[in-house]
Order: sequence, then structure tokens, then C-alpha cells
Amino acid sequence: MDKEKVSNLQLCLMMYLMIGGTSILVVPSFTAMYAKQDMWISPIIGSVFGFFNVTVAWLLHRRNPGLTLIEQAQRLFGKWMGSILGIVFLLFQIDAIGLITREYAEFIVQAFLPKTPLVMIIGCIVLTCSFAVRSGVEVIGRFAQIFGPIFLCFVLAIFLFLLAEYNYSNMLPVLGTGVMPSLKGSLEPSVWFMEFIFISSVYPSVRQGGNGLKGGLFAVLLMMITMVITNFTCLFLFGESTANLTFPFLSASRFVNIADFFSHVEAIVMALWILGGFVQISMWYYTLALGTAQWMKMTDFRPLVFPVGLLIGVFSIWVAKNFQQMLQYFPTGGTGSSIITLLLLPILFLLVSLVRGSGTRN
Amino acid sequence: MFVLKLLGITLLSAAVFLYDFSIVDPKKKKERAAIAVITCAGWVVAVLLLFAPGLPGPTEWINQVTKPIWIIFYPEG
Repeated sequence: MDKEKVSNLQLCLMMYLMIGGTSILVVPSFTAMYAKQDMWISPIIGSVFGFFNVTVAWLLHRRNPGLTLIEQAQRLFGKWMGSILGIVFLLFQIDAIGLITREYAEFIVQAFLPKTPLVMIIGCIVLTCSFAVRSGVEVIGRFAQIFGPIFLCFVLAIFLFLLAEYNYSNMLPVLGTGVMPSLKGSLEPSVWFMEFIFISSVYPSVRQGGNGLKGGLFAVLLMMITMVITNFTCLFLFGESTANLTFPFLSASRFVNIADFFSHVEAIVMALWILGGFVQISMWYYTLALGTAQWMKMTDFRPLVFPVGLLIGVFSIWVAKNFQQMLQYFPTGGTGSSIITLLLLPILFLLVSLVRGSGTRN
Repeated sequence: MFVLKLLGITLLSAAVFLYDFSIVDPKKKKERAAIAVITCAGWVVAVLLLFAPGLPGPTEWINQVTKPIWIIFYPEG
């Protein structure tokens, strides 16, 4: 369907930003809630799911070249069953992108623009993203190539600027109460890592898809390092009280003060997070628009971009009554639906693909 | 204010619909039907939310449907 191509580096950075934007915002406090002082171990355990899902997506791509998950469903399960499984994916995606857009808007309203209506911020970002999505995957790839390294640098910079403020004894005792707390804390990061299955929507557009696996795995590795760094920042600075903060990393950036000269870095955090959020929403938007078009067997997804954008805007209001309900949703329904759609369904796809042996290996 | 919001949603949906409808080749029936259905769905949900802001959303449904799974990990809810 899509003639545009992205490189392996762009694939890696796109996937990194697709997951990265929201993960640095709310994941540290969820992890701290369960893992306490071992919260830095949790992303490392959770990343197992990321590596696993990228490998599953790659194997599926190898057996069904040039097809995304939605098309693979119809190929592997036939017309009716495939359509039903396809709509499960699409419904999960519209719900997830609604949550992401809402999270983005809530972050901006709560932290920086308290008087701006939520609808205005949602409308602006969805409109901006819809132009990027209409331009195709290549444009989003180039955005990711520019913003991805900046995003990573800023995470590193905040960590380094705060070196003088850290209380390193916050991380002791390491594994003091056994491995269970960090295992339980790893559940929330692993939901974010499971979202790497959507790499399957970009695989068909990768130029000479020979080593796309490497790009995907490297994206998971980058994501893991970013999560460990943000968790370390929050742990050294706030200790176990990280769990009580809504946006721990933003609160951490407010502590940056070097020689009374270099302070109020949170403005940079906002600017950079908007860049990351823009790529993230565009990527989810793209996979959703592409998936919807493929589910209806259309030849082009572009006519669907604006209608889908309208639906995203409406869903981002509908998904939650308020911010508290949304935060409550992540460890409950969010985890449950992710395990079903992002972990169990792809495994089922792979098993069916292996049993039927229909795919050609290239 | 209520009428203005309703008018705004309707105008926005109409703009999205007419723009995409006009650029698609009239022979492509499926594309046109898809645009109409998705835009209508967006408009209907938006108007419903305008009338009943407390309308149960997808989060509540997913929470109920997937309860057997997440209750394993988070028994305290």
C-alpha cells in the first residue's frame, strides 16, 4: 500500500519515540508504587517483553512478507475470523491513542497551561499530527530521526545536571525484600514494552528489510536505558515518595539549579516532550489509520486520516472522566487489555503461522 | 453555549466529511462509505458526550471485560 520507505535507523528511533513519550511521564511513579527502592530493576525485567514482541513481529514479518498485523490476521485466519481479530486490534488502538492524547493534554494543562481548555490542546495536536500522518511514514521517520536523539540527550542531561542533589543511599538495600517487589513493579513498564508489537506496521516500509530485527531490538534497548535512567533520577532524588508524584520526572527537572544561574529547566522539558509526544501520537495515528484502511481493504489510507483524527479527538475526551480515573486505568484494564491484544494474540498468530506453514521465507 | 458547541462539532464533522469526500474518486464506493461511517461515528459520540458527559466510556468496559486477567496481578484493584 505504501510506497514510501524508511531506513533502519529511522525505524529504531520511530519505535523509540512511539513508546518513549508517555513512559518517562507516568511509569516511574507506577513502578515506585510496587518496587520501592528496587524500581530501577523493573524496566530491565520488563524489557524482556519488548525483546520478545519485536522478535515475534519480525518472525511474523518473515513468514508473511510485506503484511501488517491486520493483513496477517486475514491471511492466517481467513476472512471472517481475521476481520474479527483485526477489529480487536483496531479497538485497542483507538482506546490507546485516546489515552495517549489525553495524557499529553493533561500533562500540558496540569504543568504549564492551567487555564487552557483540554479540548483546545487535543485539537491542536491531533490537527498537527494529521498533517504529518497524511504525508506518510517517511515524514514521521525523518521527524523521529531529528527528535529522537534530542529526546535521549535531554533525559541524559537532566540526570547529569542533578548529580549534586542525589542521595545515593535511597537505592539501598538492593533487593532487600527479595525479587518479588521488583517483579511486580515490572508489570507496568512491561505494558509499555509490549506496545513494540506495533513495529509490525512499519516493517513493510523498511528499506531492504534485511536487518530490521536489529533496529527493533536496539529501540527496545534504548527504551530500557531511558527508563532505567529516569527511574534512577526519581529514586535518587525522591526515594520511595516517587509513588506520590504524578509526573516525577517533571518534578525532578524543577530541582535543576546550577550556580543559581541555570534553572527553570522544566520549560525545556515541556518543549522536548511536545516534540516526543508529537512523534508518538503521529506513530499511533499512522498505525491506526493504516490498519483501518487495510481492514477495509482500501488501496490508500490518506482519505481516512481526517475522519480518524476526529474519532481520536472524541475518544480522548471519552476514555476518562478525569485524570484520576485514567491513572487508575493503567494498572487495571490497561494491563489486562494489553496482555490480551499485545502478547497473547501475536503468540497465537505466530503459532497459527507455524502450524499452517503458509508463509514463504525469503 | 450548548448550541454553539453542537454547532461547532457539526461544522467540524461536516468540514472533515466534505473535504475527504470531495478528493476521493466517486467510483471508489468503499472509500466513500468508510469516510462517511467513521465521520458519523465521531459526530455521534461527540454529541452523546455533549448531552451526557457521564456516559460510560471504553475504560469502564475494558476494565470489566479484562477483570479476570488483571485481578491476578493486582488483587487490591
